[in-house]
Amino acid sequence: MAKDKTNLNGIKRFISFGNIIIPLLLAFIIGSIFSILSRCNPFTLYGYIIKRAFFSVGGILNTLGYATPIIMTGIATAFSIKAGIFNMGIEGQVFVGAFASALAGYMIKGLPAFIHIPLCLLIGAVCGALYALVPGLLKAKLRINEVVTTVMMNSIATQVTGFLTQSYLGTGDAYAHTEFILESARLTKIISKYRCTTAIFIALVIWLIIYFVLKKTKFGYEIECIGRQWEFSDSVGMRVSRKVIIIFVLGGLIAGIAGATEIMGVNYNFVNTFSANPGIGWDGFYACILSASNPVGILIYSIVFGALRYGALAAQTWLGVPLDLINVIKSTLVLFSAIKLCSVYSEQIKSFFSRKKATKVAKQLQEE
Amino acid sequence: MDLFLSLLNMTVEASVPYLLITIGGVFVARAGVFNISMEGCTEFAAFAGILFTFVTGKIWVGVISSILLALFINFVFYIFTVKLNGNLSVVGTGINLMAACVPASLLSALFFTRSNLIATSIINPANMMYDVPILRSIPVLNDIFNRQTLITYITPFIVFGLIVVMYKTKFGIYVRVTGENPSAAQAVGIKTNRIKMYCLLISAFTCALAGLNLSVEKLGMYTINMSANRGFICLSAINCGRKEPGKACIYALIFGFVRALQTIINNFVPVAISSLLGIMPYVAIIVVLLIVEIPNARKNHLRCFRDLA
Amino acid sequence: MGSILIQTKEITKKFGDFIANDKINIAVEEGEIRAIIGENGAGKSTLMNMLYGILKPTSGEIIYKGKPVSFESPRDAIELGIGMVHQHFKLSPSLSIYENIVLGSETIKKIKFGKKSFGGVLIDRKKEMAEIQDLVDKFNFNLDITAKVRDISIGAKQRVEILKMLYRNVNLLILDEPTAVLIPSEVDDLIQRMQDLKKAGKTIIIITHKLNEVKMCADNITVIRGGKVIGTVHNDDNTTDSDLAEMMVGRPVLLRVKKSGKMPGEKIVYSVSGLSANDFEGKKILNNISFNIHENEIIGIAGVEGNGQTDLMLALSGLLDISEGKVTLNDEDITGLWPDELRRYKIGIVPEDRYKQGLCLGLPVSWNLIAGIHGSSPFCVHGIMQKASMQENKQKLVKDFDIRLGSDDPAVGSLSGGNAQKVIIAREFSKHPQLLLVSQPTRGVDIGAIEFIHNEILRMRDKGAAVLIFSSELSEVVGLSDRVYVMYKGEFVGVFNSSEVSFNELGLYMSGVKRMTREEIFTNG
Repeated sequence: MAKDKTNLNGIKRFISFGNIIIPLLLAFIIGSIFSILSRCNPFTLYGYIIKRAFFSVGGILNTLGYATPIIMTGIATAFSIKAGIFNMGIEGQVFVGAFASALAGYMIKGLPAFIHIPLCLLIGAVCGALYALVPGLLKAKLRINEVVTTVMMNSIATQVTGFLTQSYLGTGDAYAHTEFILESARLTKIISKYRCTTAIFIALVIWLIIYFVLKKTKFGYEIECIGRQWEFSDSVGMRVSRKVIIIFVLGGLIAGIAGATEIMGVNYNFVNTFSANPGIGWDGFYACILSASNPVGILIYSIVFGALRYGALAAQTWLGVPLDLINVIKSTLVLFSAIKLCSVYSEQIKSFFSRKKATKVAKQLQEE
Repeated sequence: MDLFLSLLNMTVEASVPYLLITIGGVFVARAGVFNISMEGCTEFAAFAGILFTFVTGKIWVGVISSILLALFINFVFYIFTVKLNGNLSVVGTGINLMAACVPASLLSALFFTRSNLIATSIINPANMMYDVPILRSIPVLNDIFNRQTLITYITPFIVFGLIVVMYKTKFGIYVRVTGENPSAAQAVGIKTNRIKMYCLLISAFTCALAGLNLSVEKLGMYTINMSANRGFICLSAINCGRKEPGKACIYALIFGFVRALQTIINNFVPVAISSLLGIMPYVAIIVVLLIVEIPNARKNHLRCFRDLA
Repeated sequence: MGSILIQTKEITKKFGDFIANDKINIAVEEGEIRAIIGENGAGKSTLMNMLYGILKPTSGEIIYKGKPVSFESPRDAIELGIGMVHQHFKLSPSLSIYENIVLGSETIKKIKFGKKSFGGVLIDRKKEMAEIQDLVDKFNFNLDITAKVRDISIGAKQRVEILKMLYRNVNLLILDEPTAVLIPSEVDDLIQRMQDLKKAGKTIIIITHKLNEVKMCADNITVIRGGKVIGTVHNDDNTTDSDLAEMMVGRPVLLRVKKSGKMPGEKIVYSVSGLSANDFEGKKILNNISFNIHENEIIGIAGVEGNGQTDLMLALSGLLDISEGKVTLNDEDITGLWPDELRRYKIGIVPEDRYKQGLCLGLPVSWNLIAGIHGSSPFCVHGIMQKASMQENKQKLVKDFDIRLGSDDPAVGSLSGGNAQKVIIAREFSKHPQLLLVSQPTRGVDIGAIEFIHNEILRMRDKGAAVLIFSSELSEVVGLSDRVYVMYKGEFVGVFNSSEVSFNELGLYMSGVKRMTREEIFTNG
């Protein structure tokens, strides 16, 4: 009996393992097709990305630099997805947070760095949160579907910030950007040449806090319940509509910080393309969906996506492979991970294993 | 007066994709499937229409392959969600995300550009407009309705036809029952999964027409993010219209009007501000949603956070 | 009696390792009314679902009119003349009665072209309505066929379901728990209708767990327990209720609830006065509801489902806005509080829909057992959940309330109906409430658990709590409570001392035939 149980656990592990591996395989196959279309050997491409992203100090630092905002946006998305809310507006909140902190970075003058940096972060966070409050209120008070509102608000955020940088706040240069932020608002780079800044520590602290909140606290318990059954949560007194607003605001807060650190650590000014295609908010969304909102999974996927981003940029320059190819791989991953093929066919897998065991036993008997 | 007429003319033109996506989407929504991938489907259809026209040099190949691709996408959606139990929102998002990067990636792989594909050498947009002789002689109607594209002229028939299908035919009743009480449908031997599939295919067909209208008919070219959130806008049109095809189409017309308004105002403002006008349709959505939902929320006395039927 | 119409041979159904039906042999004769009785989970519904083609048997065969048959879907069964009326009606509320009846076999308008006619696409409404009206008149079913199903009473819905089968010309009609939702007069009506159908040559199988109704209508009774046929008896004076009950459960059972001699106290614990609430369209769904509950007292609310009991329960448990009225607990005003605030007043709430409101199916038992009190010590200290005390709490309650778990801490969704309900009962009763609001405490629960839950409710009463019970089982409401209020269309229309009232009398009030004036209710209550 005990042995049966371990065997069953083994099969369960096999199934959950398969649920991760099969989408990966399919996505990489599709990625390879696109790679071949771009006249590049897929294995050269993958090898090149891995080599660039992980096999040097600079590579690792760049990878972490790209991963930093994704960790934050990923964990911000995890909050809402875990509660069963499809908040797709993280990207817009990143834009608002980044824009606000970029303004605060050059408009507020004469502050020492140890005040100016937290102030800019705070302004970014608050603006992101306020922007997230709108779909939150619409969802909680008026039951308006959040997918539509958040997607609309993403477009509004990018267009309005773009318009402002182009017109009133622009510098008149050939490309539209705001003025550079002051030295006192800039985050320190770990090694000056590479992308990674002290923002990685901010991201890790946020990640740790959220991990703790989700796993250990009353709020985490309530999110777990709300994500599964709204009616239940309401009738045992969790005030779902209130929690929905809190969840949106917290997501916006973290997204705002993610945007702010990108400006303060990497760009130093706001350009409309700072959150390059498909956007760090979307990368966080990918990481969250693929890891099923598991914080550890988000951390891992964020680093993988950071590596892909950096590696793909390098590959675009050196191998001539379009950047969008990486996005193709990521989006197919999302699509295929939505269906847990191994879980769907779990009965068949189980019976396959038990049949295999039965033939084994029969063979043993024969030998005896 | 001329301005007003051209606004109406523009409204007719701009409403076509909204109407098409909405009427197909209503069927899907009525069958109880929450499909957010209409956006991606339209985008893919617009892309495929131009791509295959450009590659083969024949418009009809582009049209047919665009429709086939849209049908294929929604069939995948059907298999993934209904058959394999995938999460509707995740699968829908996956398709939308693919629509945002696959065309770009193919364009840069095949044509070394990632923003657009111009097929005006094969398609002359000016020739796609039809001068209807009967309309030419009627003064006001001529200004509003004449010299539109083929899909614009067949759209009213599609919309009207599908409304008839919804309310007057067997299939329409089956769709409504499938969404309302699937077990009632199954109990009398209606295959609900198959109904859902047909609905998704109808929606794919209308999305394909909408995509073709945007790329092949109007411009003869494809640009990245051509559908510009029309799928999501139509989703809220459907919700605002409470899944009634007639009402949903009225909301689609409203959003078409806003889009036309934007285009008209665009002509009178400096370039910088015109980029801000791009948010008009999106703001319009949120405003319309507010107008529709606030009275409902007032009437709701349930404190349970339950989706209102 | 005629020849055998339908027969099962060694029919077995397995769900994974679980055997729902184990080699069942039954034979039903033509023109007979056969009752199949058994507890919840005994396998009655599984058996019927196989006869109707919803499930496929694992082994064994079904013989219909002397020929072995196999069904791919209910459609096949209907074509052969087997129809089923489910306990939960399979109707589409937004469609009219006739549209529901013809659903799946609509008449299509033919397009005439000269002398030839072609298949069209549009539905021929006129022809359909004429056909259905004929059918309604033939069986004297008293329905307005153009009314929308969402507007008609439960009894009428059941008639629609039966008509749906008659329209398809079935010979064998399977009725799944047909009386569960009906008021006494409707039950009599249904039994009369069944006799009429029998005279018209139809064969009827009725599945139920209500013994007295079985005794009233069936020719033969088959008892199923644990997926096996225990026996088939002829319905005559020699078979008694208690014999049948013993066959169903496998041990002697008490059919009546045993109350202690303790009388309700004088002190008013819970008082509701003039409570009203509106629905989405602004219609009054609760109208001027007033009652008091004393300590050591159980108040029952009787009524046909859909007459406002659900809304009253929602309003009292803080999930529905109240438009007028006042609610007090021990003279403290608790009007309009939200569920979390109510829980701080030591109010135990057992909600109507166990699986939607009462339990979170995906979460383990230990989590469910603290829901609602999860923010208070010892389960939560400074906002941090205490896993150890959650486990301790689980172990204690599982023992005290005899909850049978398959493993250490399984997801609640894997428990049987009775055990799942016990999880809610344990959670709500263990915090020593002064007031208990209980809705449908034993719906879909096996007899053993019913006994247990009834005794727990009575124990709480004897300890001094005020209890309010809603139930669609009239015998339960009357059996447990000290006083019964009858609800009709969102109002109280009568109040009775439950030891003195007869079911028939209650039925008259439940169906709105009789009603007391407001003053009478006030003085009697």
